[in-house]
Amino acid sequence: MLRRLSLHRLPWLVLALALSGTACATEVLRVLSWPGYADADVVQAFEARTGARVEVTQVDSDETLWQKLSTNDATDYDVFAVNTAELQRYIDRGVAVAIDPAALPNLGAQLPRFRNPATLPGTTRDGKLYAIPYAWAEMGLIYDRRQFDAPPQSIAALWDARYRGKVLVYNSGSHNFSLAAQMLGKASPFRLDAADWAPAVERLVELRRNLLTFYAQPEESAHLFVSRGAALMYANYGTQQLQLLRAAGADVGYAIPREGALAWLDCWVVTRGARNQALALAWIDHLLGTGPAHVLSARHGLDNTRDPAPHQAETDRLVWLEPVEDVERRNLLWERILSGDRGARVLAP
Amino acid sequence: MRFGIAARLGIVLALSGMLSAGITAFQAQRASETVLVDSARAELLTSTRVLAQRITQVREDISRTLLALARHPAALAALESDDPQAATQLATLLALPMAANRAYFQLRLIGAADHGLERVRIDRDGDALLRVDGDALQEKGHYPYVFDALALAAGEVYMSRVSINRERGSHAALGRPAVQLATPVVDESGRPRGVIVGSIDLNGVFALLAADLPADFLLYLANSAGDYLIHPDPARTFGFDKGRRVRVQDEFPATQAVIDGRSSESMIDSDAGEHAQAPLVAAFIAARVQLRTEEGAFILGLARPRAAVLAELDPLRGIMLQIVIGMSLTGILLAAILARAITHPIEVLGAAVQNFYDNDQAPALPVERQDEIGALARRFAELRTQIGQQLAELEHRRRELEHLARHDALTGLPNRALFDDRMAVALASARRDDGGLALLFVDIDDFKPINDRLGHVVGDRVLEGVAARIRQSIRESDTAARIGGDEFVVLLPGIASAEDARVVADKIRAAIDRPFMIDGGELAVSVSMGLAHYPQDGSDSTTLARHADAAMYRDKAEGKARRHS
Repeated sequence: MLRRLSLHRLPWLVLALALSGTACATEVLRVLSWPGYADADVVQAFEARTGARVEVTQVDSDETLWQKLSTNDATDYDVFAVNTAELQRYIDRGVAVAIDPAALPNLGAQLPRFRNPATLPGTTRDGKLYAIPYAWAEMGLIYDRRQFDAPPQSIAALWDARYRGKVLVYNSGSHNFSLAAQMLGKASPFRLDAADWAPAVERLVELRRNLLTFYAQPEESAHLFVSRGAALMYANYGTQQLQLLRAAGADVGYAIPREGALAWLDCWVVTRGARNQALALAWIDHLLGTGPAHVLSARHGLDNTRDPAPHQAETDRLVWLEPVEDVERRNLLWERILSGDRGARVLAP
Repeated sequence: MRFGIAARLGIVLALSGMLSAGITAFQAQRASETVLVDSARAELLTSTRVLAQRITQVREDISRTLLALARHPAALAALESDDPQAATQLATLLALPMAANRAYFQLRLIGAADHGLERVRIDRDGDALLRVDGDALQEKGHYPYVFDALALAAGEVYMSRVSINRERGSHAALGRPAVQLATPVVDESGRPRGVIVGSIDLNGVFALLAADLPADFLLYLANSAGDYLIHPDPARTFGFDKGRRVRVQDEFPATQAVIDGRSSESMIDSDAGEHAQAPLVAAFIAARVQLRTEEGAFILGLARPRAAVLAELDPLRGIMLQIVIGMSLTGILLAAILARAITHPIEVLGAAVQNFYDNDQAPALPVERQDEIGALARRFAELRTQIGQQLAELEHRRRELEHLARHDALTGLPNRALFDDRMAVALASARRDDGGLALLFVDIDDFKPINDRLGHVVGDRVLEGVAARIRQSIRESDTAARIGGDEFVVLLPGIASAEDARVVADKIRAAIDRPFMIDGGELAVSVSMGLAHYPQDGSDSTTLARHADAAMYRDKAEGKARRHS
């Protein structure tokens, strides 16, 4: 059978191979994305416009993303989405390549704060642009309008004894130490110096004593807020929690503290292994258009970089997340604080 | 390969026998499987309910313990005074249930004051119980089991969500699935002053409860959202603790109704998705918790591998296999007998055809049968009889023709041809045996006048009469023949001498000399005779014939002389 095939059907095989070769000639863009960033209709619109075919691979954790891009010299994908904090190691490793802004006409339609690299630490290095902001969310304060005369101005409200037992905070070592650093007036909440740890821990123990409890999930936070009559919440999930609470009938407001709200920013990045950089840039430019931007905010509740965010002013201060100085230490100390250790025991070796 | 009718018929019959036996066995097995699976599900459902009741009993036991501790004066005393004695007394009390029941990870008294500072705490640490004291005591006011339990009235019990215990310093409980039960300690005025909290080892409790379940029972427990808390594969439990959801409704879609509260139980035959290779029979129920808790209901389930359920069919399968084999063998045997019954008569008919002309050789035809074969045999027998009769007639005719060819039609005596044959045989025999023979010519005297005067009919009667009298006068072994109009010849084999032959000749002459009675009148006939003897008168038939002929003419001449003298 094999012999027959090879002798008699060889011409057909050659023809088939030639045809499939023609099919391969269609450009394929390999996208490594997060849920909601490359919906089928968004992809189809791009395919219709460029004639290229898009292969989307979804990831749901930073670890998976890193694993996929750190193998095979990043040649398996052309373009990917990553937050600014994580981005740094991709630049370090050479996975990300510099982008020519001129290739992205839609950049001009972005909000000013996303067009100025100076306000976006991490998207540039050595004067070169490596990442194009795409989706973001900030962590503001949600407050009960009936218990507040005026919106809280500062994160200090979380420590305010008037709201003792009525405060909800997200259960996160990294973020909560950043909060403590902001309370301590640090220039960067992501850089705690050796002398800062003891006062930061002290702040966080005080915070623990002032709040009702820590939450993990948005739904859980909304349930606790309503059922326990909370007054104030540090909203790790931002406006998503605001929407949940309003849906539950809570009379709540949303405020960006003057210290600045921690915010994450996901950007699109072109890989070193991109087969066709122009096509990868066309994909990024496509996503900056009005259609995909609308999908992002209307369908997935995330902020896009074109339209002003509904619950804040352009002048509100955002603190884009950066890698912290020592994530293990923050987590270890946080676990002790969370478990109820007091004072010196938290900082014990 | 060639098969006879018997083989083909046998195979068809045997196959149909096996097929019918197989189909019967298959259907019986299908029916049995359905019954077994149904009863297995019902059994699982019952077991699940029993298990749920036991869980309730365990939980009630723990609740009673906590309530008893909360009401004990030592609890309030330990909260209201800084007297180490009071705390020590309560510690002794807390250690008692912990020593008795390994399900407790921890028993604590936590104060409402000082941000929920633990006041008395006993931890399980390996096999030992450990009293945690002093600086190691932690502030737990931000845990729901403290702030929610403090909101309860005296006598009420709070139950936390089931989760992985992440509280550092909790010894044996750290990193383990646990649930907290708590009840407030109130003072005389009814004000909550603290809580008694029991931390319960989820896996320990269920290991005890499920200990007497059969080994192939699989235990599942999920929270009200369907997240697995207990699963045969421990890696699939507490997925939410690791940032992903591993839910019962994803593995068993039919449990969605139980989770949604649309149904209180679900019996499942799970053979799709991940269970396609090893189907499970399962039963799930919603076990409501009659406590103040965020956990709504638990989804409790038991499952068994379908293969294990159906293993109970193995003895039945063995019996069915035996029946199938037995019925198949019986079918083959019956087929062989039946085939023989049909083909044997055909073989008999075949043999009858083969021995068509020899009725003795052919086996008896089954003409007595009342079936098609009998009819065929009867037809054949008739045919054979008819053909036999016709053949016999033909043979008869042939013999007649042969007789006619070698005999004289008028007298019935052999004709010249036959006589010549016998003469040759007799001569050869005489030469070989050195014996003798005689040849006797007999000629009717004056026959032509008889014919002319009295007619041919009388002439013929004379010829007949002479022939008869010659025949009467000779031995059986002698041959008389008519070789011409009125000429006869007689062959006398085994005659030693001419004298012996003359005796026979005289006897013939004497017989003929007697008058013939023809049409009521007498007629005298005489004959002339000539004799030749071998070897005396010649050694071959021609010589002997000439000699005899000559002798006869001499005799005729002498006879004429006698009659006219």
